[in-house]
Amino acid sequence: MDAEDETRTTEITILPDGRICLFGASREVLELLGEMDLGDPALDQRLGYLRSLDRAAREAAFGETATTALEGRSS
Amino acid sequence: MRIGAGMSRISIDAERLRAARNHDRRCLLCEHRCGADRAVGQRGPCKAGCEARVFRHRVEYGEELELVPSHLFYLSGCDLRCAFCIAEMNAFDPRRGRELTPAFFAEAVAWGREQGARNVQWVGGEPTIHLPRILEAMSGCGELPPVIWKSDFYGTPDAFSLLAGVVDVYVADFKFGNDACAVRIAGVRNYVDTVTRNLSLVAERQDLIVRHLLLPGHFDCCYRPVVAWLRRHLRQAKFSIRDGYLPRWRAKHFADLAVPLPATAGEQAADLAADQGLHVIH
Repeated sequence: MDAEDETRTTEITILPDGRICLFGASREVLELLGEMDLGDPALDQRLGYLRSLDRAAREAAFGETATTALEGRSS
Repeated sequence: MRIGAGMSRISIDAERLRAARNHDRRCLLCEHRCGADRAVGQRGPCKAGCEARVFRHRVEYGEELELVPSHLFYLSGCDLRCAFCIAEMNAFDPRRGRELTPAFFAEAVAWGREQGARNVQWVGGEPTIHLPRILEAMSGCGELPPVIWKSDFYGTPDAFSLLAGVVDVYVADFKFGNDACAVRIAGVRNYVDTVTRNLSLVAERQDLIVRHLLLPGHFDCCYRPVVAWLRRHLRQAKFSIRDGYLPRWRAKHFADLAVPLPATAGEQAADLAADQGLHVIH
């Protein structure tokens, strides 16, 4: 018996009072909600944190590239 | 803690695998201690056999900030029967999903890394009941990102000893603050003593996040006792308050659980935890 393939699914439930519950949140869904400017500090904090991870990854990648280039120049 | 670190070699030796496989013949992985010989078709309360099955795996961003992006592997089958379980039948029917094998796991981990996952996380259902297959799957990988173990903490000390040195962070669901609620809603006995024993055991040796899903109408009977226990015994443990309760699965059969959480419950819970000096994380 196979389960439904939910690997690429995020569940969104909106309660009658307007609260939004996410289960299995993807990055894209968080960004989408961020664009809606819901005024949710927890969401804003989460997106800010994820963007800081992106920046750190880019800087690390740039550092590696720069180091490789310098090594190549000195050899 | 290896969170934030890259891949590292994982060591699961033959002796550990042998000890884990002993539970296929006489299962004492959880505190039901049913002793089922799963290899010959006997089944305990979790109904699991010798196969583990993954009903979903995906990279998620809704976990605690220090864990995201996390690659979650959802295994079907559970030793609890929480009436409000959001995974519903996938959690309770261990025949659901595709078989967990070393080859599948290695391929899935590589996919997760491509998607940016920083760790792999075992969830359920309940992963503890599938410990032999999980260790086999991980032992087939030369290297792994940090390993997160998200559990109901109803396992035996034997089960936790099989995880020592393999798991980087435990995420413990401390669901109920008293045994009466645990029996009525999840069908388990001796819940509080078991979970608190395991929390103390793990906190001594590994990074630990204690989660509590706020349940409607259970602030005084469940949330307050959880906070009080943590304050007394594990004040420095990371405490994650979850306020996303939804009345799913069989919750409609319980008057207290059939409704959403009041909108103010999360704030009220956070205030109490802060007042008690707990280390709340988001």
